[in-house]
Amino acid sequence: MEELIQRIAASTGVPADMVDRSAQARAQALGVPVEQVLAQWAGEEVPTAQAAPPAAPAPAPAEAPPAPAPAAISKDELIAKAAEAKGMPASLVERSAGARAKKEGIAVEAVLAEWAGIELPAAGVAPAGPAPAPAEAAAPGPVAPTEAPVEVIEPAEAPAAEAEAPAPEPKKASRYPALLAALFVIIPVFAVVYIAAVPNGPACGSAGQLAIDPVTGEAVGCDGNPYGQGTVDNFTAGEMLFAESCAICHGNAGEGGVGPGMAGGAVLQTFPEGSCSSHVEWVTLGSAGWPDPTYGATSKPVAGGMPPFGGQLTDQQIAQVVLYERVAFGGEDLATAETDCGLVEAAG
Amino acid sequence: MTTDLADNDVQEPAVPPSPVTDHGPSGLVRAHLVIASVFLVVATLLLAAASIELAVPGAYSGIVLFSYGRLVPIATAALLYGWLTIGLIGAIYYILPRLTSGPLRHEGAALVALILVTVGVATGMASIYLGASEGRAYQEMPLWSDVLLLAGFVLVAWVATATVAHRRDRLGPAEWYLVAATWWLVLISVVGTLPGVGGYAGEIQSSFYRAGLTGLWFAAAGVGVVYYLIPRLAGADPIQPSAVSVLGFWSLAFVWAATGPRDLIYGAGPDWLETLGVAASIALVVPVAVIVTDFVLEMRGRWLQIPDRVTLRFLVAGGAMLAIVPLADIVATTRTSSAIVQFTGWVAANDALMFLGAVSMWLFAFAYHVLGTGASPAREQVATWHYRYTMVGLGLVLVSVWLGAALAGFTWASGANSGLFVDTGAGFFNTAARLKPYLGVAAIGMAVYALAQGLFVVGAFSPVARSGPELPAVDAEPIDLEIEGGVATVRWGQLRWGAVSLFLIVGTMMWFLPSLDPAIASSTILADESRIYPAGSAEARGRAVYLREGCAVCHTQEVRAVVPDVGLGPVSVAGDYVHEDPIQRGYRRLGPDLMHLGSREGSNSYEFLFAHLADPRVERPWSFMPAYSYLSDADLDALAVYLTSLK
Repeated sequence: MEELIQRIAASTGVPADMVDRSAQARAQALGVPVEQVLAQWAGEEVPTAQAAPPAAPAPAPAEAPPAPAPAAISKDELIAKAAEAKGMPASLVERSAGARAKKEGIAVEAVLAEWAGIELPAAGVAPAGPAPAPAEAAAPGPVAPTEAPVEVIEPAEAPAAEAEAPAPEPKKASRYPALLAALFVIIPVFAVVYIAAVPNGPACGSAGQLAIDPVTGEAVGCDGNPYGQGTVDNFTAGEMLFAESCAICHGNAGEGGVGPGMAGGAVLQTFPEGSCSSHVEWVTLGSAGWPDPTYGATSKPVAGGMPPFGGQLTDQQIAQVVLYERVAFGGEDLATAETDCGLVEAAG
Repeated sequence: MTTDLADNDVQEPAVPPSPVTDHGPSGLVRAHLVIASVFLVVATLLLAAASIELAVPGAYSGIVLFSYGRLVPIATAALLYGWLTIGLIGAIYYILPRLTSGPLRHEGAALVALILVTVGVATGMASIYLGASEGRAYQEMPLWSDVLLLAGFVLVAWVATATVAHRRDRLGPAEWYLVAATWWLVLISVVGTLPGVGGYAGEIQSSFYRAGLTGLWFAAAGVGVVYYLIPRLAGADPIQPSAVSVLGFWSLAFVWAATGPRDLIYGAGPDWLETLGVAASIALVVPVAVIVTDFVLEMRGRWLQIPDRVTLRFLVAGGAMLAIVPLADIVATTRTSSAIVQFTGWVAANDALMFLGAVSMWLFAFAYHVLGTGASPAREQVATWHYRYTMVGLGLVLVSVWLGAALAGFTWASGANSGLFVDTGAGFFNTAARLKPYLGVAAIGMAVYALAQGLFVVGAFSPVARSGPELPAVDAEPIDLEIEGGVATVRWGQLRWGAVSLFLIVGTMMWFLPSLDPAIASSTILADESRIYPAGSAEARGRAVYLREGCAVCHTQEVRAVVPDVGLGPVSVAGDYVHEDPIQRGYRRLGPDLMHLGSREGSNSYEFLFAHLADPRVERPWSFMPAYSYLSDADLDALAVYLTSLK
């Protein structure tokens, strides 16, 4: 291409960079390759359309009859030569060349040329050979007007890219990133899974959904209490209180630390179902204020580290934190624990 | 491909043609662009005026035109139907002949269509101003305007179809999008023109209409323009039809209209429909990913050209905005985030991203491309400043409205916990005060955007360029986008039947089936009898005023079973709306929800409402509601009676 530009520049007296620029602009306006414009300015026959576009899945030789292409070696000739060179029937050559071209993502002509041992005019410029149907790009002359525009298979517009960009990858598949293919699978699957998972909207308590009171029709908490009261609040409040006051010794997840672990049901071994009041009492009094030498159903010895929370937290707060411990770590049923700890009345 | 390339250019190697973009548009295309630009200027000025009204409450007290509820529908009509629609139609007339190497068929019909659409939009805007609003979002224009528009759109589809009809097969992606978009526009407009179904089913119909108009017309036609422009502006090879672009086209066709019900999340409609809308919104990523990928692949290796060419700047900016659209929409769609941002300004910002952003950007690029900005350095300069101010203005609008929406959403969601929201006055006091700065920035941004459009008019149409270098007369340069290959080829017939039947399938699913859903079908049994308004009653007249003044632009009438709505009264069901047509569900809460206003302590008395409507800031200094002092006493009375009847 440089050569062409230099030649035009020399013959017209226009600086080479301007020739280059205007040719690109022209090519862009016309939607044709720069080379084609340059070649025409230089007054020469356009070499076979360079750089076929990334080949179609099937170059479909059957549907792309070689149009008269005076300048280049026609495909038929190529096939004939290749058949001669390989000693195979022409039809077979054509077919296998098509398959090979598809596999390697290059033009059929390039394959044929290789087999025939011919240098293609433009072969050095682009990895791909002539376009599937190098008809008009190679033929500045009139094109059979009778067949146009419906039937004539146009030469795909060759990229004007080689000049400034590295040659495009010849394989069609590589035009689109593989990620896109993954997206095509993932997104619909995700959408279908979503429909299957929540056909009728989220359950109460998730995604902001609330329950509806059947009598008043108002939005209420999932337990039927007015929103902001009732069990949801007790549990959450307990969780926050636990994080604030208890987690430092018993662990964020109740796994234990300075104080004994509660997770995995351990808390209910000490204070079984129905003994929430003892649990509350223990938290309220702490080990220093505990009247007996042992505590809980397992008669654990009072070790002395448990501080009394009676002065720091209200009775309701202690009940809430106990509720949280019993439900979150002990696995007790929320409603049972609530009744047991006397929080149903407290919520009003 | 024809031979004129050789004929025209081979003989003049000595003088390389000047690097102009393309030969000029026909008078018809130019007329479309001129009219569209007038609507653009009007629309953006009105939108700016509306934004200023929110930031400076009472700025235009008592001026009917500048009453927010009328201003916004008028501006929306001018923007969507005037600027974008007429502009895109002009682009279609310009592009299709060039892609199919034939003349534009039926130019007379095209001219008639232009007149019909222009008159339709103009009368529609005037009708809203005069109080004939239909009271459906995006469809406020009255029936006669709709009919004019529909007639115009039918002609457009006919012209577009006839222009490509001689190409029996092997149309390229740009033509698929452009031609199919004209048909979809007709079909969508039929949905929008048909007298609405009453009750909640009508709201479902509306949501389908809005999403269809956005995706199947604006996005589809806009993408067609982009597919035509990028190769030319970037100097790349045209986008080839491929299995991927086929997939992109059909997934856009199938998915976009189906996203409609996401507007109704947590609403009184069937849950399965909302779920379908969410799934479609997720799936919207697919067509957008295809389009954006094509865009990026075309631009690969050419990014450095962007700063030099204002057309490319607009094109790329619009592409980037399109890439954000599905992401911003998903926030408004998934139920978790929707519970926060629904009824805030989030969706308004998304609409701005799509309409003031992506599609407008592409039209700017198209207008500069065909009007030959590059022909004059001065003009290119003006266009560059247009680009800068437009981007700054839009950026301010988007960021402030999105952030404000998030702030309002979280305030409402936490208001229930703190007890603030139960008293909506206090809840909205809270929101209103905290939103002030955001509304202020949005107003500045919108004003900048509006003023920038003056630069567009200068840059695109100024005589500077016409006296510039003569554009070389080049015959239409048909550029074929086809290559041969099994799956890559879309046959004409497939496109035709596929595009139409797909629309009908989606339409049936989105629009017809929901009305058979038990929740909707049985709603008459559970109907809210208090919402029957006998003709001539004060309530009926008040409701008419409510529609006319566009109250639904700022007030919703729907209580959802979510945290922000706790304390607003019974959760809305389809039966609540069954006697209304159209229902006034609304889509944004710039003011409080009014579903059960009549039952609400503190603001339910007739006296309070009458005074509050006449001058909102006497009782509530923080309010940014317009003062309805221009209404007659009889109207104010009827409106107050209607509002107290909402129980």
